[in-house]
Amino acid sequence: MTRKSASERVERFNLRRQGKDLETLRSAMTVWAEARGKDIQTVYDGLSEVSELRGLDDRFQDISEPLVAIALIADAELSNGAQRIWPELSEILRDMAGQRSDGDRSEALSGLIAIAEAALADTDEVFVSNNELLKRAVATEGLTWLKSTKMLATFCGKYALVPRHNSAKTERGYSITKEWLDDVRARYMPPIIDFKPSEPSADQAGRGSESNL
Amino acid sequence: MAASLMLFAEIVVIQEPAKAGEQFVSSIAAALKGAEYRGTVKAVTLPEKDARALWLTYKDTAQFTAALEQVITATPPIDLYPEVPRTADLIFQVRNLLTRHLFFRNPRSPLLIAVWILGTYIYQSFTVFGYLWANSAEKRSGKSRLLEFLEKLTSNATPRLSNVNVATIFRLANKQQTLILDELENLKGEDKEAYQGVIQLLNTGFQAGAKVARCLKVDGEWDVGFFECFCPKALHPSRTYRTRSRTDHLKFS
Repeated sequence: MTRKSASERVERFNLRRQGKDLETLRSAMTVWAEARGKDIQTVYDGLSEVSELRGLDDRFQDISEPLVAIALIADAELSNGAQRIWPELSEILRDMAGQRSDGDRSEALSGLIAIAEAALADTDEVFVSNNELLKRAVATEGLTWLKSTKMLATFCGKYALVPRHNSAKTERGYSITKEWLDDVRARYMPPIIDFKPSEPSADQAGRGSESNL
Repeated sequence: MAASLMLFAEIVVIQEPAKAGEQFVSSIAAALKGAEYRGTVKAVTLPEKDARALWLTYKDTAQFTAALEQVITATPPIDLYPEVPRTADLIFQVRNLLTRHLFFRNPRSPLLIAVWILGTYIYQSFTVFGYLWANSAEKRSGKSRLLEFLEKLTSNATPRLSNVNVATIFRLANKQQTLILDELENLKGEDKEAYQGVIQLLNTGFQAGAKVARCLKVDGEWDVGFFECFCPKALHPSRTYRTRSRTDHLKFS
């Protein structure tokens, strides 16, 4: 949790005044549990692998499944067009696990590479401060989920890009080199094959199924 | 017992004070509901401790009956078959309540907490149930207020416990309570051994079947008793705990 700034306001809570509302809500949840408990257990027992959580740590998937079961029941009860619980919950669970799906990861890495390319331009090495890199990251598609310099460090650390001081030791940030960029491209980015269909050879032509047409 | 009560159009249960009275009324209501009773049920609380004490106050049949009828008339009936709220409605109600009174940097966090709160009511249906970790790097970030909400909204919650030991935790878990553990780091400074014990217990207590063995004296003979330590737990743990159990528990910052 984070302390709110002076401009961020929340309503004051007074237990004496609002205690009754909480009690009503609690009673409603008791009624709900009695009525829906078995349905949720059935959904929970039937969960094999939740596609949205695939790739996350096994233990994390285990502890997420009870919440998944509740969210799925909640969504099943809703009529079409109503706001769904599971899509939003799956996002936060993936954020919490500190991992993204393969597609997201690839998109995030592409974003980081694009930032690195722009920062390097024609130089071999460039220093980008923590805050500057975060600022550029949140404005880049695939990296908008980064919320703090700590999250940025965790993400970059997976690709051997770690924060350190600049040469004057006045600022912390990332020293991005061309060598690092080439290495990341070679390791993690799928090669783009320049594909051209071959011409049919004279002796094989007409031997395929197309000759039956 | 419920079968013999089915003949009556109205049933009045005299509810004695304290938790025992509540439990008695709940058990009667559950039995009547199970028997599909369709009459009116009321749980009255008398101005005196019980009916005998009320009789001793008046010592007159007419006055005693009038006093009793006055209480019965003033008491609303128990809704044996309340409308079951939709899961999503409950989740949104809790989420909106949290959002209204607490500040979250991540706007999705209240939704996760709301679903977790609902889960505390049915945690026994699951083989694991993650802990809710209210983490704050700075003071006055609303952590205590969040724990206050959890204390009021989760199922059978304990008050905020700030100085717990292993025995306290497993005895409360054995009563299927939701534990609200605050300021665990204080324990570390006070009693390192107790702190280690609590951490070990927390490292297993999110899984169903996790038990603690303790020697008990039964009829003058020592025997080994097993206590459940699986129950929902919301905690504000120490830094040490945080690093040791990073991936083991559901966490929210």
